[in-house]
Amino acid sequence: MIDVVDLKKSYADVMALRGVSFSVKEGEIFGLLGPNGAGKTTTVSILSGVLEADSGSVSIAGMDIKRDSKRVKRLMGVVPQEIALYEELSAKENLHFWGGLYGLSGKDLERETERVLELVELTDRANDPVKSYSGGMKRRLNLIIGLIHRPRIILLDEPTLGIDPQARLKILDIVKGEAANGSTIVYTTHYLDEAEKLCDRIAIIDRGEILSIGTLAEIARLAGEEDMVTITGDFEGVAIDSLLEGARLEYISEGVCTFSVPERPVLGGILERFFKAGVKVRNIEVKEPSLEGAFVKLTGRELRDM
Amino acid sequence: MSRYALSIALKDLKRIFKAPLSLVSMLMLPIVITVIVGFTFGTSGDVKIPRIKVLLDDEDGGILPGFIRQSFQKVGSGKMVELVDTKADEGRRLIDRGKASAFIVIPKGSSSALLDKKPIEFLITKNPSELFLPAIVEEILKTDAVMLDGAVRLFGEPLDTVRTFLKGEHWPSGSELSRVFALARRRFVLITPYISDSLITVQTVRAGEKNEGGNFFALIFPGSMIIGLLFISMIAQRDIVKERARGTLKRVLSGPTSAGEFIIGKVMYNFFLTSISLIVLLVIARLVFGIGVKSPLALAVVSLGTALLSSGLVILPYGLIRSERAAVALMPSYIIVLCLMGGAMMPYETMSRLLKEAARYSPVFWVVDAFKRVMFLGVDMGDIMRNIEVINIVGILSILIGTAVLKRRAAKGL
Ligand SMILES: Nc1ncnc2c1ncn2[C@@H]1O[C@H](COP(=O)(O)OP(=O)(O)OP(=O)(O)O)[C@@H](O)[C@H]1O
Ligand SMILES: [Mg+2]
Repeated sequence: MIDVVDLKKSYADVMALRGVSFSVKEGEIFGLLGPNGAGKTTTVSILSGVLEADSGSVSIAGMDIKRDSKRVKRLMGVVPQEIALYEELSAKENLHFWGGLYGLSGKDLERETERVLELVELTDRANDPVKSYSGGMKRRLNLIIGLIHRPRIILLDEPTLGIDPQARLKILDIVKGEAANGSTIVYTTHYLDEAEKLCDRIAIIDRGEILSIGTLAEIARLAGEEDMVTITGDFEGVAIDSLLEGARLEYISEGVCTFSVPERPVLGGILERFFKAGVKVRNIEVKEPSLEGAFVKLTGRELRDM
Repeated sequence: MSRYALSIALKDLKRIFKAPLSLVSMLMLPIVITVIVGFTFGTSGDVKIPRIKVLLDDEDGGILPGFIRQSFQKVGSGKMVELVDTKADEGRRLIDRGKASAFIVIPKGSSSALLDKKPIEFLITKNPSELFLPAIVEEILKTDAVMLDGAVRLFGEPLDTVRTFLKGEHWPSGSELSRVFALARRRFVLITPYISDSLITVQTVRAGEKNEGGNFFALIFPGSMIIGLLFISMIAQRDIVKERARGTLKRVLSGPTSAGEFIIGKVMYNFFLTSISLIVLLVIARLVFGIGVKSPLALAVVSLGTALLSSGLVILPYGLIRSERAAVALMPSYIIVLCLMGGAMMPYETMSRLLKEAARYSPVFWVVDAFKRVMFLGVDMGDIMRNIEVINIVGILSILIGTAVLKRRAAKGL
């Protein structure tokens, strides 16, 4: 449904995308998971036909986003990361305007407006000006504007930003519902759990590059069916490598090292060697294989550190 | 395509109508400016422009002064200028005492010198205590001078043609002149439109027609009006920058609406606001300041063009400005420069020659000039064709360029 090939894009002095490629199948929820500044919004903006890539191509439903721009855009619903609403107008007036731009009118427009308002429980406040809404309400309105014309393809850029946990779950449900109705979805987030819960396939993106693509299981397997251990301590002057027998070093920096171990006993042996060598260990963290582990392995960072 | 643009315009109107107070104060802007300027200049309370008294010392007595006399008589059906023949000493004494607006001396032998293509000079002494009136006289004389110069250069052979011109037996028509001027050297061609326009102006005001006389307010009204309209556009079109900063522009462009349609929507919205304000202004001009208009068609055409130009002139810089803060900081100066240059702040008639030359490069000049001609001189459509052309072309061009700039910047993520 969506084929992205080798997208490159730089802004004045930042290389935002360094050759991003992926494909999204029809009816799939595809997650684009990455930390701040990874290039998620840049990717979505190019997919939505607003931003021009420096090179590479995007084809959507068999059409080129540049050549068949108008036709492609009609198929898509875009939910931007910023809250892009007219604050003076009410939710209803906003929906009427945006729905109108996608060709809805009359009874259809009225019906779809009611439908999406109910979806996020904004019906009661539908006639109040948006500027009187809470952040979460605006976020919900921001979401449904992208859904009003029942698009076949939906691009969602961090639609749960700054929203409370309960409302988040609600939004995830709505997205699942749209997918169940046959829409193809690209969903960007920096929340691992959202990607885990929601997405059929995930691409991990960082610094403008796709580091890994696959189903949750496939990506987790990348991290190895192994525990990921992170030790914080004082290893100055110690040859860590020699202590890590039987393990695989993933990442090391001042005072932190991460390695994977095939089984628990190996870890016991390693810790014993650490103590014998007189290494001051402040903290030991063991993680079971997970998306997060894969993420750390791929990016060398924990997502919440960004 | 216009459907998207229309939705955008209607949405913006809906938004502005949610804040009626700011809408009204915005629409009042040109009115407030005009009234303030009007009463500042017209402290005497006399809104009718007085007849311009011109003293003429004709030492030549030939065809040249005849031509000049005639040109003064043609302006405002002869009601606007009162030409009084005087002798040199008497004239100087009267002008020194402020008894007239200007004193013109045409030296002996001017006519024959002219026909021999020798340079001639006529002297004009202006009453320093008056602002506009001597300037008008000077303007008429200068127009005469350029016309004569052109006529003599081009019609050097046969001189008969020139003589008929100069004797006032045959007043050249606009098309005749255009044909003549088309042959002229480039330097000359550059100012031709204005010259032939002036001529036509003189020509169309027929003798014997009832003329209310020039109205003082009609002179300052166009300038104040365009300043006000540009400020309305500035406020209305600031939305372009806001929409860009807040992501709604990006959202619009991610749908089937193009940047061009977005801008057309903004222009329609702006057009509506400036038109309302303009209509109110013209009604006020009529009722309060007693400015009558002979050709409603000419007025309507110039007004439409002006509303368009007013949007265009602000869309262009808004395409380049990224933040609302920069917009607020930069735009007023931009508009003031355009207006100052174009003679909307201080009357064109009182500007120095250099500034007058420069004024032609400000589109505002062509608006002010057109409104003056329509409201002050009471000319018809044909006499402001050049203005209409410039106003519309500049308006459309700046809209097109503004759109291209905006489109480019959105695509580049700037
Ligand atoms: N308009 C712009 N001008 C200059 N640089 C930009 C622009 N937009 C994005 N960037 C840069 O491009 C890189 C990628 O930004 P992008 O917004 O795509 O990241 P993101 O993954 O969406 O991040 P976030 O999670 O914070 O939304 C960043 O380094 C950012 O600073
Ligand atoms: Mg982003």
